[in-house]
Amino acid sequence: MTDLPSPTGTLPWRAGVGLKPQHYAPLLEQPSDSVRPFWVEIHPQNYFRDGGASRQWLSRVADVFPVSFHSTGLSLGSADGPDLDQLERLARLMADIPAASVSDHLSWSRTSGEYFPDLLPIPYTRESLERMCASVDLVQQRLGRRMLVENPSRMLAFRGDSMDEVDFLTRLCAATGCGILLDINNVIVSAINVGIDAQAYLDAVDPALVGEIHLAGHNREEHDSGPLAIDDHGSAISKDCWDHYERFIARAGPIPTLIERDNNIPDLDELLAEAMRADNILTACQKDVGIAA
Amino acid sequence: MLRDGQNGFADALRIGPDALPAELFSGPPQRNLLAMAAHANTISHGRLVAMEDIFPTYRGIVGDAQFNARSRRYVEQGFGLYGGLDAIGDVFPDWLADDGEATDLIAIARFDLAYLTAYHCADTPVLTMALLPSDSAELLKTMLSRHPAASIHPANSALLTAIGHPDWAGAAAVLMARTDMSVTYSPAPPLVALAWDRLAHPLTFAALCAMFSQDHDDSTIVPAIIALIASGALQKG
Repeated sequence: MTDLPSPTGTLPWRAGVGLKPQHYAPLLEQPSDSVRPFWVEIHPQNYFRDGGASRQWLSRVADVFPVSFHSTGLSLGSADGPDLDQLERLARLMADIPAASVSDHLSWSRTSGEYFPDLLPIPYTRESLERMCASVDLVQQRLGRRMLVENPSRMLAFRGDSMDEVDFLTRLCAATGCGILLDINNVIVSAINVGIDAQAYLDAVDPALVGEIHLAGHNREEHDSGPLAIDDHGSAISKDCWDHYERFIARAGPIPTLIERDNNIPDLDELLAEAMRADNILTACQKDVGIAA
Repeated sequence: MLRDGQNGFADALRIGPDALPAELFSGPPQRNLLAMAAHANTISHGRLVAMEDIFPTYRGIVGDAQFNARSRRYVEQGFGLYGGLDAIGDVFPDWLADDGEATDLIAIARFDLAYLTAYHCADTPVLTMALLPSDSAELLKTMLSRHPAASIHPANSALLTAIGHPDWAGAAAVLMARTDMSVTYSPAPPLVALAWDRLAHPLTFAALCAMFSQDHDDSTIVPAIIALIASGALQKG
């Protein structure tokens, strides 16, 4: 563990939305007194090219909103170690655009050089933990800051698991100084698919480790063997997710919260309505604990 | 153990459930196969959508069915899988050539790749007409070099139709450039295309003119170079 800045970085303790190309202009053209997100999140891999329109838009957005960098390509859990090409491209982007927070996933997406565009699960063993710790250390050293690691949505559980997911993440944080990006929808998806207890999971998370929360929807397929939840980020946030979120925030206090939607992108107004619902929960909580919103 | 598990997982994604290590997962095998199928579908979908996004012009010409069949075979043969999704199509035109695709259509696949290169290229200032010196002696000393976003493509009827300019039938080639945020196209008559070709290395205006002086006079050379500059294909400085 090294002496690095706080995992919460400079994200405000308010609600943000994922930045999508169709929302560049509407976001920047909104009057300052209208409903706006307090921050935005990007997948930095979408901005790794050297220039052009998307980089120019991002630069303009970053002049107005704090930007969280939510990477999908570092492959932190790969037995080969993290993807160093992706790490260098991330570092280059961060040299140009200030990042209020940096995160990636508790997963792997690369083996023997082949890239799989998915967030694949890792077993929760001592060997995986050591690999993750080495990867997170390397990334944090290269970027010169702490990062957040997101809990995955799981469809599979490994036979050799020797600890549960919260224990794994807590040990990872203790060993590297990283924080947790807590995706509450992912907890619900894992509960449906591999039978964990979502409430017990959330109760076990130390709020002091959580630097950001994701709220999203998921798709549910019915099969002979039971339902299968797919974390497709393509629908509105479920009631179950909102209920878990309210309970967690009531226990944890305010934490920067993202409305995450990557498919079936709605109008900005619809996303902002969900963001304001989350923000109302956050600001109510801030008043309860005596923090000025 | 971690490496073995990930290699086994990858084999199952590539080959199918028969390659899945039996002892890897807990839970009912039927559920695990369902989950593996969902992961395989996500990966396949991500790759094929990336291919569609990279090659819209080629896809528009050959049609969805043929494009999907070809891009699926390309991916299943293991091409383009070792970089991120933004690099998945880099060798697709070469693969199309090996697969027996028509030369005109291979050129259109290369045009699609060039469009992305242009669109995402570093923001290098373009040499504009307004930046040219008015003094002829100074003009002849002006250094000319290709803009990194610019490229040239053989003009065939399929490409000209796809970019909305079937009326450019007399052009030898289409010049692609990027001014500010927009990718632009210009028709390139033979002499303009030749001037572009000669600028594989930077040259002064005078040196470029001299390369054509045996076969052309200044009344045709200078307008060709000016047309090249006006297209936005050269960089400032």
